[in-house]
Amino acid sequence: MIEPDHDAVLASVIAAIEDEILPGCEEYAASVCRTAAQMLRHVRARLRDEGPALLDGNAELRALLNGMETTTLPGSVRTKVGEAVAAQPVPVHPDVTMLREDARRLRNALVAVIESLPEHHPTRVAGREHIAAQLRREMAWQQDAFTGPRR
Amino acid sequence: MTGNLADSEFVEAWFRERIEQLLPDEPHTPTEVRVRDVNRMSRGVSRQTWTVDVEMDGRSVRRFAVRRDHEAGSIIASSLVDEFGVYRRLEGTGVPVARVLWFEDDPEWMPNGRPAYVRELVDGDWRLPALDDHSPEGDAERIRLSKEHLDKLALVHGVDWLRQGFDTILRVPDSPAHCALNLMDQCSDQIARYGVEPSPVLAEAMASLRARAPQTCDRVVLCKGTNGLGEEVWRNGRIVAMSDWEMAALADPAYDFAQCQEMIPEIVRDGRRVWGLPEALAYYAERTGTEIGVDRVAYYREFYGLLQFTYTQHVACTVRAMERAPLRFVWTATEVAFRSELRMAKHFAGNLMKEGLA
Repeated sequence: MIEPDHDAVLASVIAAIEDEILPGCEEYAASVCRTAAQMLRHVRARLRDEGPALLDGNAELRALLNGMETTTLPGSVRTKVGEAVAAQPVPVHPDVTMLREDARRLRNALVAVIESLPEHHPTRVAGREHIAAQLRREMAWQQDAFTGPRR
Repeated sequence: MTGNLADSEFVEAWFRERIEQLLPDEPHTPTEVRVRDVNRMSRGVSRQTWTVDVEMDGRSVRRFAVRRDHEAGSIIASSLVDEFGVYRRLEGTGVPVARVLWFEDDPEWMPNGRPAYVRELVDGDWRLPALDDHSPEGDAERIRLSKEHLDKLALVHGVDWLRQGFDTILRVPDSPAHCALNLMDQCSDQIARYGVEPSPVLAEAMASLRARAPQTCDRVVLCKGTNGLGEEVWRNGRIVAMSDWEMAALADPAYDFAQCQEMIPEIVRDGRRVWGLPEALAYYAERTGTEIGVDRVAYYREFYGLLQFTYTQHVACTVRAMERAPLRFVWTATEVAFRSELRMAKHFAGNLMKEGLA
């Protein structure tokens, strides 16, 4: 499942710390709760904003270095600037928000396929293999509920 | 007067206002009540349960339970008033349940402005340490406890649900053969209301469960839903109250066997089966005359993935509408939802679950 996404999970953890745990804590533990909630806000904002901020910042800096007059620079510095400007990374994965939207469209299409083809149709069979593989991929972050420490 | 449930003074005033309903079986209504303690129970996720210790006429102290939704709502889609209705309809049937006393929907007295109901708290414990004794010496007691549980399930299944009015709060299948399809339609209707994201696992599971729906059920019974360890109150080795009726349904009795938690232990000694599901079903058949095959129980275990998916999507719908959703709601909408997918995918992806419980 895509929802609730990481942002909703973090918002809820922050609320639990501030609204339910902190009021029952002694002074020091309450202070740690406030810091923990603040750091989770940091993580929440960072997940949302760090990618775009680095993308914009890097583009700005690359343009600055690329446009500068380098002939007056010492050779070793000129080399360093040239290498840094040329080493632009090729994006490996698109933004996760775009990927989620793509997943919704594709899964919606697969649901329609499942509902219109017989059980043993090759596409249904391949679809089931895909679903099993996707569940295994999600196990990287999804804990199977009722296993491990919980409520 | 309005107030909150953590405020003893408010609760005392509330119980005083309802004093005539506190002891329905006693010949004399108490004249004075004093609330000695109010606590929220940590167990249970679907709704909140609070205990209230009340001293009456300066003498006896009785304990009551207050049940209500969380501020954000409930985990399970069935309503609080229907849950109250299940308890009320079970009165006089012989099924051991805590007696419900009143449903509070008067805005002047609803704690925190939310409806609640009050019931007697039955003295006992949900824990059964004897179940952890896996030695041969512990077998007889584990089997006895298992039979006690099966006896009580048989009592539930024997309830004349039509006479007790369960048809007004639970969906009725067209016939015994329609039990599974009826539950499936109910889940399908609910899921459609929640605006669930596209789920190929659900689509595959629905198609498969519909195609394999058992036709051999010969009677529609009142089923409890989740049952077994953690769901009932025990005292001196007997069940004195059956709790947690949120998943109650008019269905195939196999539905309950599939949701039984740890009360049918598999016991094999020297290569010989001593107890387990086939033996429990044979015992149940002896007591009730109703035969249930292990294959039907297996079907409903898989079906439980759909039930679980349905209630987790009810929660996900609540979470989507909130800025700061309660953590247990978010946990249910993530990890429990994922588990429901693993369970639904079992027939084509193999068993990816780590534990057999819940």
